[in-house]
Amino acid sequence: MMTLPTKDWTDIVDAQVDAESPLDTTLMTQIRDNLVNLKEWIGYSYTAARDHDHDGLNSKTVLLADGVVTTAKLAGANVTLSKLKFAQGSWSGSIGSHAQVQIAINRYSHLYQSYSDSTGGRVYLAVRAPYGGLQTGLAVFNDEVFSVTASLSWDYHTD
Amino acid sequence: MFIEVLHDEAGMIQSCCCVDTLPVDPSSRLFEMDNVPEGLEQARVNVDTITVMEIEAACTERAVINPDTGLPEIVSMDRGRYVIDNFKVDTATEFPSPSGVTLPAGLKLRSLARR
Repeated sequence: MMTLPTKDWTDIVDAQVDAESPLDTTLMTQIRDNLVNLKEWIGYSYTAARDHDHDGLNSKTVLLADGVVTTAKLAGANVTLSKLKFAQGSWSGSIGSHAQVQIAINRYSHLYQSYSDSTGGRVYLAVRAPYGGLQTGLAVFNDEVFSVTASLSWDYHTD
Repeated sequence: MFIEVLHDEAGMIQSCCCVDTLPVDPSSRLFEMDNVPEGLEQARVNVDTITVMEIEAACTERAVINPDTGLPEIVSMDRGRYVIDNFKVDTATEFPSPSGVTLPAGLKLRSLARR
């Protein structure tokens, strides 16, 4: 945190500087103190010819108001994974011969892993259009003549 | 975490779905299986916070040394698989639906027990 200036700022009124007013100690002290206040307020103990750049050390960091950052201000590829809020879903289980399981997948989902645990067994994924009670989701089909153990994992965006 | 399972009379879990948030329609099932064998029931599971923490911790990606190759690798476990392997449904207990909460039709609210 920036150290407060050692001298307070004092407003010099017009009556002190008009043609009839003397150059007294009070006026000169106020002028001196105001200059000290400015010098120290500039930041970084005022090193001549050194800019303060709001780095939080030589001067206070700039605080952006809410909602002022525009899309154009974001450099390309700077919205990274860590800035996105994700939740996770997963399903594991057995699917009977020529059967399927329909899984409710949240909107804005990313499938990242699916596999079959059964030796020689394969499952197929299909996007399921809304029908009846279950929301839009994925259907995992077992096209084998035997039960297959499978798993499905996905990430999805949340508020 | 919300967990929904398909289990038999003994509580052994055949299928398990784990999600961090409910679907857009909270009264719908997390998954539906066709040709469900007779005797299997689908239940929504009431899991305590400590158990949820255990499941999350066990399924988080971590670096291990492969015992066969001796090389480091990243491993993780599917949450549903962890629940199936380590828990069963306590079929002796059924919870009522909390006030203001609509359970999917036909589902019972049960808890987990250790296998």
